[in-house]
Amino acid sequence: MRFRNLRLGVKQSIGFGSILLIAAVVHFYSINRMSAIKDEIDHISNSWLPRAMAIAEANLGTAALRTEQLQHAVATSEEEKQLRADRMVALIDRINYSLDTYAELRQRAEADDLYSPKEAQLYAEFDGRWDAYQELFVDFFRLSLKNERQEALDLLNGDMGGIYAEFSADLEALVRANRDNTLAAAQRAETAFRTARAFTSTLFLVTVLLSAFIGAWLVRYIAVPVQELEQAAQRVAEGDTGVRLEIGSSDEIGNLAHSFNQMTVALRERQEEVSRANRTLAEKNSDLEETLRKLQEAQQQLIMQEKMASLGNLVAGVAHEINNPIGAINSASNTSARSIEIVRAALEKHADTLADEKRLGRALEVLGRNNEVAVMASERIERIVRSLRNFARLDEAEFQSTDLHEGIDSTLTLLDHVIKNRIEVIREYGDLPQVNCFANQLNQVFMNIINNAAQAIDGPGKITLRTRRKEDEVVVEVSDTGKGIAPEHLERIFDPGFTTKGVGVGTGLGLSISYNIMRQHRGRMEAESEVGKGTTMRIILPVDLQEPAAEKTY
Amino acid sequence: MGMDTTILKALTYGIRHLTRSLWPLVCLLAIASPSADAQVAVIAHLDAPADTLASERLLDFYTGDVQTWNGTTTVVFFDLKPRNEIKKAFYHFLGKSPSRMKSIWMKRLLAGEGEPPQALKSNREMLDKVASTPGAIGFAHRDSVHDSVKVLAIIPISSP
Repeated sequence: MRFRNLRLGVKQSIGFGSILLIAAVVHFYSINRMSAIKDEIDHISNSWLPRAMAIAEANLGTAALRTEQLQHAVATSEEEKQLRADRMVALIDRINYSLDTYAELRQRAEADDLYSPKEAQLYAEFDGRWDAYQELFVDFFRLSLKNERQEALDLLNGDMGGIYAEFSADLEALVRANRDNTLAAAQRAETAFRTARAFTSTLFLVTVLLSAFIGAWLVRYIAVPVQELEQAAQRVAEGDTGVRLEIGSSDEIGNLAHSFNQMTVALRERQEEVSRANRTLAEKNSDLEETLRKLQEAQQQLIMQEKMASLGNLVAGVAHEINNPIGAINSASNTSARSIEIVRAALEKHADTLADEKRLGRALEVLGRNNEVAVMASERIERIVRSLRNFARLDEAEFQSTDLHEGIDSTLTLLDHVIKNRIEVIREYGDLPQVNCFANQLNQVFMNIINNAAQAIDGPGKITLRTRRKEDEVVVEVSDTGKGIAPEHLERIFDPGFTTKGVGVGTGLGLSISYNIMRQHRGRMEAESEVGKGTTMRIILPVDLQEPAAEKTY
Repeated sequence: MGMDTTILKALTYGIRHLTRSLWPLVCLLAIASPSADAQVAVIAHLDAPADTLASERLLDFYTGDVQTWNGTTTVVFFDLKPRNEIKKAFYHFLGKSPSRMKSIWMKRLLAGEGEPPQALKSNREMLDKVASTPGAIGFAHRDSVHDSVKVLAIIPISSP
């Protein structure tokens, strides 16, 4: 398994474990070196140095002994000799004590393997010479006691002196050997100290470096990823769900990063879902608004249509009511005309017999003219009434076969007051078949278009009405020489509520209603216009339209 | 390198210890091997009122602390001049080195308490002196000992 994939705890344990291992190695090695130093110090203080001191002591003792021997030899009085002898005994005790001490130390040293063969040999040499010296001493002492001074001194300085020089040299060599050993032990202790110091320092440096490395590693593998995670979380919190973390390891941090990535993906998906839902909602909302708008439009149109229908009813009623008196006036006028003819014939027959024949004739003429005026007026009234009834079509079934020309003419009659003599109406009627339609509704369309055309013309002008059949369709065009419609307005003219007329002049619903009526008839409505030249409105209807099934009208 | 020397030391110590513990076996083999002549006899004049003598008592005689056999016969002890195996074995038996014994005798001499023993020149002379001196005590090669002296103790000659 690779190291980076180990769990954090294991990684840390490895790191700190290695430091601990180094610390342990340093500890045990230091203990070992310290023990070595302690051993050397022990050897110095318990073996080399005491032995050197014991031997040195013995050496001093033998030197002093020799002095006393000399003094003994040259002493003149018995007391003096006795004093020297006593001192020699004390010195021998002292030497023996030193040598006993040495022997004891030697025994311990041999057990500790600190006693070299060289030292053993040196000591053996000394021992032998010391033995020989003492042997000679017996002779010397006898000579000295007998006051044979010269012989005694000769012996002391001769054979004994030679042996003394030899064993003294032995003792000095022993001291030197032990001193050398002491120095060597000190040297070894020093070396041990130096190696321990170097080793400890080196490993301390290694530990420091390792610690630094572990620290850096902790930063690299824990602190930095955690920081990245924190920053990523911050970015997610700020709304950036596109954040993805690099997964560098499969430890806890790596798992965390993986979970984080999964979380952001899930979050993004959720966000997308929500925004999708929002969009759908907005669409539905806009649909609803559109529906509401259409509903309001339809409501307005319905109101308008209802108004028109009421008005139509009223007009039809009024027209009907007017018909009877007009009929009476008509028949009365006819009767009057005939009566006037009779009176005129009688007057002509009896002209020479009547005195006021000329005045009567003039009166009769006025009467006749008035009667004609009455007849003409009543005929005109009849025509208007017929147009009204035609326009309203209340007496006929709603959907029926209709002559469009008749509808147009009726409309023109009703708009007579708008057109008057100001506008010239030109009819260019083609050959049209009967068309199935709601005649009263189509009449509303004609009324609208022609009225608009008339209103577009200031002062004198022309309105041209063209009809023609084009394949299965019937086309009606109304062209005026009015002021025209600006292009930016042209595309809005069928919108409900749109008007360029002043407040109170138009509702803005006329063309919109017309457009809907045309749509209901599966026809269409087109407008062409040029500002300053005029407008042409075109309505197109299918010839063989069937009554639409329950289609809503709005 | 410090470690190495430590290990080396331990090793050499172990080997030496082993060889040292083997020494008694080596000695045993040496003793068991042919000669019974590797022995020293502590000898006395035939009139000596003892048949055996422990090393402590022998030391008392030689240091001069005890100067008579049972308070009657004066003890006369002899030393051997040549530093041979016999002398070494005897002094080993005494528990003192020759030089140390001499120190003791020297002290006695200085104090006027007694003379050091006469150091004889050979085994032969030792045997003759002990045989001819009443109350005498000495030591000789066992093989050389005959009926003229009494053997009080036998000391094996151990290897140096």
